[in-house]
Amino acid sequence: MEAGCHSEGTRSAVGTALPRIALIGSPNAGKTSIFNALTGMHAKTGNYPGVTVSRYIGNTRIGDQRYVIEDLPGTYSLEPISPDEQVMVDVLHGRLDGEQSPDALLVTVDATTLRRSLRLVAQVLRLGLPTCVVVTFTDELTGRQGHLDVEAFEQALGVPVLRVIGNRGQGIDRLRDRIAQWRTWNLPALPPPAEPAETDAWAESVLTFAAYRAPGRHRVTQRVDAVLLHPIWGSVVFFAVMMLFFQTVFTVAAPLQDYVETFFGWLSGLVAEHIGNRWVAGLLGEALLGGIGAVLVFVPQIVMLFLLIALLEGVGYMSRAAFLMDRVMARAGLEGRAFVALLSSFACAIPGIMATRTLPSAKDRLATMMAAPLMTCSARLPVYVLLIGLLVDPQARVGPFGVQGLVMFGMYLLGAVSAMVAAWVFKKIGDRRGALMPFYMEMPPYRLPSVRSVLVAMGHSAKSFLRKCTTIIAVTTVALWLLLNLPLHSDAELRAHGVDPGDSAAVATYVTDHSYAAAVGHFVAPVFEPLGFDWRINVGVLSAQSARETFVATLGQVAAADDPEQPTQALRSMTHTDGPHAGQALFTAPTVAALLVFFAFAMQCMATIGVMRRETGGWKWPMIAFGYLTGLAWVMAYLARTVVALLGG
Amino acid sequence: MLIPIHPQPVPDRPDQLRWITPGGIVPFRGVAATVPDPLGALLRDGTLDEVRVETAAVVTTLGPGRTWSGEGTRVRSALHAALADPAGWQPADVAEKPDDAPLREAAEALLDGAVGEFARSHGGHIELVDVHDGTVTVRLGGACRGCPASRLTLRHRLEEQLRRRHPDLVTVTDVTAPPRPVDHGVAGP
Repeated sequence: MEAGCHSEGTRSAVGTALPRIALIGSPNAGKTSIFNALTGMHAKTGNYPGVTVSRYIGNTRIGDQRYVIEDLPGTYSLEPISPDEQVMVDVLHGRLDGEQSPDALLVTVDATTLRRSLRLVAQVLRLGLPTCVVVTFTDELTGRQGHLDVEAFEQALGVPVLRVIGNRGQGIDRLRDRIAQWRTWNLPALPPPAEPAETDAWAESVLTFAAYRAPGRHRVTQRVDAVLLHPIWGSVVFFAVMMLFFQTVFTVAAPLQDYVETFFGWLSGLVAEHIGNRWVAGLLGEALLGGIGAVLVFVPQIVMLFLLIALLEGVGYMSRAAFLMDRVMARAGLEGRAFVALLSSFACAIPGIMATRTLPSAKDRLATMMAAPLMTCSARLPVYVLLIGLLVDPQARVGPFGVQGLVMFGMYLLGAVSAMVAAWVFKKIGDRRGALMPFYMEMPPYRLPSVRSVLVAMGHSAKSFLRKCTTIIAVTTVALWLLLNLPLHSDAELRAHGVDPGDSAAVATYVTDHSYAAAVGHFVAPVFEPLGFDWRINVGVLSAQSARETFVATLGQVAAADDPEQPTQALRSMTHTDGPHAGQALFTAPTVAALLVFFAFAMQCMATIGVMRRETGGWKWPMIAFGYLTGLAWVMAYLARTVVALLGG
Repeated sequence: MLIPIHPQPVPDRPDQLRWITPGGIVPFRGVAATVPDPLGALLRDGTLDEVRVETAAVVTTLGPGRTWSGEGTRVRSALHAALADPAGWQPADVAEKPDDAPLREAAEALLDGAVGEFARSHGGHIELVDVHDGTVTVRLGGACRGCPASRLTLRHRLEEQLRRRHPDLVTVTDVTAPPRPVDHGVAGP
């Protein structure tokens, strides 16, 4: 039939002759649940060719035929406002380089907001592609005394209509059967009108025909929102939620972390026992188990962080938080979209920077981009947990809260506040007029998130953390291990410096202290000396420039060289090896505080710099960000050290 | 605010579209002799062959060689304008009786579709006997016979859905029931 005209198909990034079905829908219409239900956990993420809008593609098999399912970014309209939406519209029209338009479309509409969704449906039907409308949340519609006759709705639209309750998996089998017949889907006898008044008349008529009755207000949502969106109580609840959030990250994840730590201790014990070759044992025991193992220990925390984020998002709290913060942001002359972008940076600055594409004003975009790296990303989490563990006794409590969790909360707060201040400053520098664009944000009703979508979010985060550990962190760690163990020293040379070649601990100390890495660490020492860092911390800080977690790996290696089975103890008892402070404890409270603050501000992420360059189209802005953040990090760390030293006496 | 309309295909007549409208906008049923411009102009220039009024719909028939993809947008806008001026519509034949064909079509569609399927899923079946002057007569068979719930099915599933599509539906009767309209009472003798 139409398969013959896919002459450009070979150039497609998807690159298959498989039927390609795209999912379109408003945000919160249950699109992602359906995507997950259709494709299982095997979704691939990538980018559209030439642009950095992320795309989600999965496969599904129905009968003997495989289908490519593509999840397009959520949208209320096909009239593009932001660069993001432009990409989606181009995909649908097949205008993107090397991309066909999809073979068929699934439009998801939320039955509880059907009237608004029909505008999108009208636009999609005008594309003239085979289309099936998937109605979601009909259970909620009925629960709130609404009504929809799905059969009549189908008759009025003239295209197949299916009822699916994505988060419970109801109707997915029928949807799969329907997808298999995509070639025979009815097209509307006449596509819906384009002229707005006529579109409204069309939508009204379709809704009447389908006996649509809009649902009553969601009572629970209404009552809960009366508190949660209240300027005072809402803020109180917001801070309470955040406090609990970090308490949970510590209290729940800490025991799990101990198991992982014990496991790696056991492994390195095995290595020390069974591998005779000093180099192989060192590479395995110190670089891989000591270094990467030290980072992998934080998998429980990372997963816990994303579990909590996924829960808060799924329940519908995140948009409330954004709404509350929007008020604060508006004072600073920044609009709500900027906050949403900053909120995404909570997980990682890269999606945050990409989210600035939704900002219509170029100046707001830049200001937000400059601020995004300050938000506490998940890469800082391992560093913070390690340092806070050195700084604060895990048993210490203030009332019901553990002090470790409170300090962590404080670090996140510091990040958020400095990000907003930075955004405000850059906005003031860049743009003095400051007229705010209107900002619309939907408050979805509170819903129980589906177990599946929460699991998928957790799985994704754990997977990308593991990928980072096995790629960039592994490479840096092995390189560092070499730098820490080279150059080679002959026995004669060791004896000449009073080291017995038979005493392996003494040899290790000597080798490390005279390594290339040590030379680098000593070289930059004048810069970091005021902050209380010794050469080993310097090496860690420098290595963290590739990715922040590498700092943990570096300290892990150094500690594993001292005591492979008790790396944390080894860190705690570490002392300055030379210089004026020789013999004194290295990780004193002022030094750890300085380190924490340094990591809060410094821009130690090559990936972020790369994305910033791509998004701003040059090196100017990434260099500005790098320069100001590194300078700020040093100054703030010095301040923190001074203040803590004064407080501690 | 324009009068809400949307088009639906007419089975086996690709040259026709049935525009669903609110009931009773145009004060007559049957083929229209004159309609307000610009809809009238479309009839005169051969774009449209016929405009027929139903209780809650207007059926437009294309002239020969025309397609809906070519003319649909113009017809829609013209119809919107014409519906805003119901006084400008004149019937061709004042005495025309209500046309039962659309009602029959809709009843058949429902019995072939959801309502029939519902009955079959309960081991029964509903057969269309006759459609005349707005009265739809059916015969209940299988498990439906004598089932007290079958009356609910008729009223809530068939009659209600049919009336929504055809406000001129008078009643739905069951030939197997005592010879009277489906009653509204709860307990029958």
